[in-house]
Amino acid sequence: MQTAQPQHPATPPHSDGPRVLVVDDDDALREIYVDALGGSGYDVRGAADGAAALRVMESGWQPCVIFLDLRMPGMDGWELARRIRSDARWRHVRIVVVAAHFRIDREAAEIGASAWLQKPFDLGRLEQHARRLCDC
Amino acid sequence: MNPLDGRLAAIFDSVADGVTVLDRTGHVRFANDTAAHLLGRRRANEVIGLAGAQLMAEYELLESEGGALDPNLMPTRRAFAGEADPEQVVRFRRRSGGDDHWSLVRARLLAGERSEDDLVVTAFQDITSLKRSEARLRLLAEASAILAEPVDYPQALQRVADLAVPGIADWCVVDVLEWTRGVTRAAIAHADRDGLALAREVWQRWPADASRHGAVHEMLARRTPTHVPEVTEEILRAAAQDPEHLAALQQLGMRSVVIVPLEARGEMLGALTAVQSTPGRRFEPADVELVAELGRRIGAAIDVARLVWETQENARLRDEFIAVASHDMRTPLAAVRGYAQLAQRHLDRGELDTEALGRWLRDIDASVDRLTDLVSELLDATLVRAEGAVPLQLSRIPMSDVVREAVERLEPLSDGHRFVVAVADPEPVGVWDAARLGRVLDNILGNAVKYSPDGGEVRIRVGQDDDTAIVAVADTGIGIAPGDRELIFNPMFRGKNTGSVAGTGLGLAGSRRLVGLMGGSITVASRLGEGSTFTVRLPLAPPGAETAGI
Repeated sequence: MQTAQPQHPATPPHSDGPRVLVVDDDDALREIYVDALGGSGYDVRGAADGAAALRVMESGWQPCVIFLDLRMPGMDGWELARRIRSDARWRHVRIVVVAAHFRIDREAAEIGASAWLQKPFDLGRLEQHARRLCDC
Repeated sequence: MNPLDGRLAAIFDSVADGVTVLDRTGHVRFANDTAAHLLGRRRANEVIGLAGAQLMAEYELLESEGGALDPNLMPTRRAFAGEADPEQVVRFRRRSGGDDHWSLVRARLLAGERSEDDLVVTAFQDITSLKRSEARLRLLAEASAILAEPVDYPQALQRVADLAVPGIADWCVVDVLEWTRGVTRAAIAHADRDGLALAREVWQRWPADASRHGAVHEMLARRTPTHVPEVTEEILRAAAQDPEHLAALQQLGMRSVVIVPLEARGEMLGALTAVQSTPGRRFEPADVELVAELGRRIGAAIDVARLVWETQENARLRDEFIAVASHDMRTPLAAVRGYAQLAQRHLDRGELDTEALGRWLRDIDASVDRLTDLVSELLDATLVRAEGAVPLQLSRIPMSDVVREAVERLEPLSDGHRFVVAVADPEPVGVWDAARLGRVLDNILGNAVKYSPDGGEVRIRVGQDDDTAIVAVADTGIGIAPGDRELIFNPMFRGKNTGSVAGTGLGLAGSRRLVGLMGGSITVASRLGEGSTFTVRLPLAPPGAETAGI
């Protein structure tokens, strides 16, 4: 899966900004994340499922926060979270669950997420979480 | 003593009751023909002169509802003992076999000049049919009481079967029509334990099989009770599936059989088979009516139990469906909100690129389309169940388009199945609700996949017959048992929605309803083990389409 780069010429990639990984199988949402966060100075990469996300991280690019969808074909969010939590390299990576289920609070707690955002989410709230959790 | 003169004798002969006159030595001085019949003889003169004790010895004397009767309670004896007008209901059971008879017995002392000359006149009023009616009503009332209790109905069925034995029959079997399993044995009752064990074994090894057209299935097809008052060797041979089966049936002993439907609201829900195996016990027409009534009450109870289950299931499925649908709507909503907010930000920053904006707006529009579809599906699922009017959105479309799109939706989700579409020439083009027709096809194709778990080919033929479009979907799977072919269209038997198959919420019941709204029909043909073919017939134009100007 290719990482998505922002298309808009007015927001060049900020390769020195805080790193944010967005994992969601919905192409539209990934584009929105990238544009919104990229335009605010973050270095954003996207992945369509857990496996793609792992590949990005295995390449050495470590995000400080992952915005994680749960229900994805292939490796889902739960499996990805499990792998991240069990790997010493990524102990300090924060996870924000972004999902649709009405008990998202319970799902986020089960994963050990730092926060959760229910879809449809507000871009302002998205940025607040990124700002708060990206202190690296 | 002189014999009674001819006219008196004639009077007694015309009386409905049996009359005997006994003297103190216990011998019968007089009897009428009725009394002789009650005692198993033909004419009075066969009884006169015999000892009363000898005659009574031919019977077991029982209480009306209970066990052995104390002989001292017999009215004749009590009359000789001086009691005035003694009377007693006695149940007579012939020791040589046969059914019980009840008599209301009254006696009166005719005092002679000396005690040795005393006579007792005893009248026997046959109240057997009255008693039998009482017993029937009591049994039916008990059965209804059992069936009304809030236990699960398999337990209730067993208790009712136990109730019927040995009162109505020596043994009986309750069969119930079950979804996907056809006729299954729900309860067996037998008067003795060994018989019960044998009966269970017989039905386990040789179950009632739809394809063998056994007695139960034959009765269900005719929808009226089967009465075999006397089971002959031939009948038994015809019923047996193999020589071992025949031997087992002979051992079980079937002398007289009644099979009745378990019926409710015109639907056959199963069967009750009652069997007499004791020599001399036969089912008479009145017995058939009793068993049939029992069958109706059991049927009604099963119906209620299923309706309750159906209501609960429907509620649960609807809740589940709503939860899934509303969850699914959040993703396109997220896209709409996201793009809208992105556009606002870019606008605020003075960085609005019209090309990007154009793209975002198009994406918003596409998301709204998806949301609208979901809302329609949600609405359809509830309307189908709520029996409300469904406004159709009609347009002129070729059937093959609808079919091919449905196949495209299903292909990625079904491993190991090949879809072959054959379209006749000229192909049918009609006025239909494309979206709903698509969901009906999703449902039927989904069933074809579900009923052929080992994969295989699903052939779809699209053709036309006069002004009716025909779509036939044939699979090579497990097939559907004859008894189930109507059941699968029952709303209760929607089956679990896998979630991955499109058209969530629509089962065959919903499909049939939607097709019906377009003036069409869905039928199924099937052979167990070979596969099924679902055929959708739709008029090319629904009623009223011409006036709608389409």
